[in-house]
Amino acid sequence: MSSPREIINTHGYYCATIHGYSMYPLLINHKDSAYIVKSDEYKKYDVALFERTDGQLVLHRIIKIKDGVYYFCGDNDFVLEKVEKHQIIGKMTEFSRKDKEYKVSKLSYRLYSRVWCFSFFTKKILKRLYVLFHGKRG
Amino acid sequence: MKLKSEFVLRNFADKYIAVSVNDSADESNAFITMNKSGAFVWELLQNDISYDEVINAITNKYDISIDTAKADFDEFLSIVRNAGMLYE
Repeated sequence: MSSPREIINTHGYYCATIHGYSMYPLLINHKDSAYIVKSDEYKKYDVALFERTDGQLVLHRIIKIKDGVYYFCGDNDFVLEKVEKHQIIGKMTEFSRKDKEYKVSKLSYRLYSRVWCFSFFTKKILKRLYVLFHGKRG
Repeated sequence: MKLKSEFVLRNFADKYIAVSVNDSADESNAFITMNKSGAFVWELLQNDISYDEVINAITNKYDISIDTAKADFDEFLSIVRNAGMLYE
């Protein structure tokens, strides 16, 4: 079977269902899907697929770019991960949430990504509020 | 025949893409991309339906011969069968 990188290089896109809770509350484990495309440029707040040095694939958000190094963090995480550009496979341009498809260009999504990721402190507060109103994750 | 409920159709970038969800997502990350007529057949197979009923539905919707409909549907079936998406 071809790897996501091979599929993106051949077809220009890749699609997968989410595994894990690190992008909660945006993406729900085993339910939501991400549509990922090949890109030459990655910006702050992009959600991108990258490959760890041990080969594990991760879909997280770029929080900071400094000196050509990308710092990723899951929306449900609080630790930055340093990633080199060659490790990045593609970026998410669309996703499904509760069986409805959204583009990342949508204003409400852009607002969410900026507010949610403004700082770890605001993320902590917003996460507590989200859980209070929507119940436990998953 | 019927498609397994662990597979759903997404509409991303004007493409119809079938992906696995729930526990099946752990077993396979395979996805299938199809066009609008493939998505039409996908919707038919959400309910238990016979081969002939599918061919009838295709020829009623599209201006194609029974032989062409059968050839196209056989190809579709072969792909979803290989992906383990079908109950028969």
